[in-house]
Amino acid sequence: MWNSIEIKIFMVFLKLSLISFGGVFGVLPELERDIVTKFHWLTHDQFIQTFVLAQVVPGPNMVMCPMIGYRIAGLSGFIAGFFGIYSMPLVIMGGAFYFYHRYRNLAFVRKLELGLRPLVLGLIASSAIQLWWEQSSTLLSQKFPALALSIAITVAGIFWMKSRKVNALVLIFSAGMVGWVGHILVDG
Amino acid sequence: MKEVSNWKWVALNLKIGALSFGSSGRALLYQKAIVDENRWLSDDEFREVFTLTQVLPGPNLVNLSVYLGFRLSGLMGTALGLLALALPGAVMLVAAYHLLGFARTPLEPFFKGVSIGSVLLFFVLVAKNAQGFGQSAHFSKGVPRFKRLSRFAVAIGVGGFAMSGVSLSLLLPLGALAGIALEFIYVE
Repeated sequence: MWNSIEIKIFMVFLKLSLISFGGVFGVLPELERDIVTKFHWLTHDQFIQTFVLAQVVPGPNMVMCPMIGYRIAGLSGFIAGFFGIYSMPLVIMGGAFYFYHRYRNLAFVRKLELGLRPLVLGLIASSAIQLWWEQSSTLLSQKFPALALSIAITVAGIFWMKSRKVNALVLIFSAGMVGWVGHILVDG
Repeated sequence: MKEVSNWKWVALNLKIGALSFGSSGRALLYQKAIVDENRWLSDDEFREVFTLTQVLPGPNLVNLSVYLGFRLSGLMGTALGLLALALPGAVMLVAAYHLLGFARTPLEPFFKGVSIGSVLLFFVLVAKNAQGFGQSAHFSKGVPRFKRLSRFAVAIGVGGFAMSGVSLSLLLPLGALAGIALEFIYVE
């Protein structure tokens, strides 16, 4: 029982959920090392294919984890991957809430938390810029129109969000439509 | 402290889990729904929770959803909310795998546009929360200028070093130290 493949899948993703800091991108090499090099469950190509396909479905970007489990062991692998990646956040956040929430009004705790805000925002800003650059440069087949289109989408989107109370989901889908039209016009 | 019914919490997570794509910038969707639309939390408390869930290990968006779930709704709502956030995408991914395989779909440029739209949320999230650097619960006038600028300086420094490839194991403790020292040295 303890050597079953489901347990192994569960443990791989449990470990992943503990070391992931930020999104799935930071831990992708680590995950590939386990899935491809260590256990030989998938080939490198299969791993990348799964990652790419996972970009086109909604949900947290960890959404590829149950899918990897599914490719390895079918439905039971899916379940093992799902609970592997999502069970620890439930435990850690439950513990964090239980402890933090009763002490949050202490002046000392308040200062610690305020002190971490610039760090967190700085990190998010840097990953936003890096992500934006990566995705912009591959929007179309040629780099220059791709960047121009991406800047246009970004600036228009920010103004749109500021000027009226636009629903963020509508905005995301509109950006998708613009990207699509741009592709048809430029790449044919 | 059950402020939000299980049903409402699941509905919000389902909306974000089943309809939104891309980056952890989707924390903005939680912020808009919880702070701006429903006023379940103050701006300041949301920023506090956001900071905490980002510095603890685990997938960002999942951490945020789970902590907010405990804060607003209780264990049952949290667990159901997590399922609503994570399961639809995972099931869609398996369905897409069986229906499309890994063939590149003509929808690809659409999803690239969508991902730029969702990075845009990231930028708005950063801008919205950087406003918190100047707000204070103790001073109606806001935070003194020197302190505000120092917080910005720490954030920009962390972001700049992160983009120039300084390792996180060095940057995290230093950024945290600088931010926390600032709060303790420069008392309001």
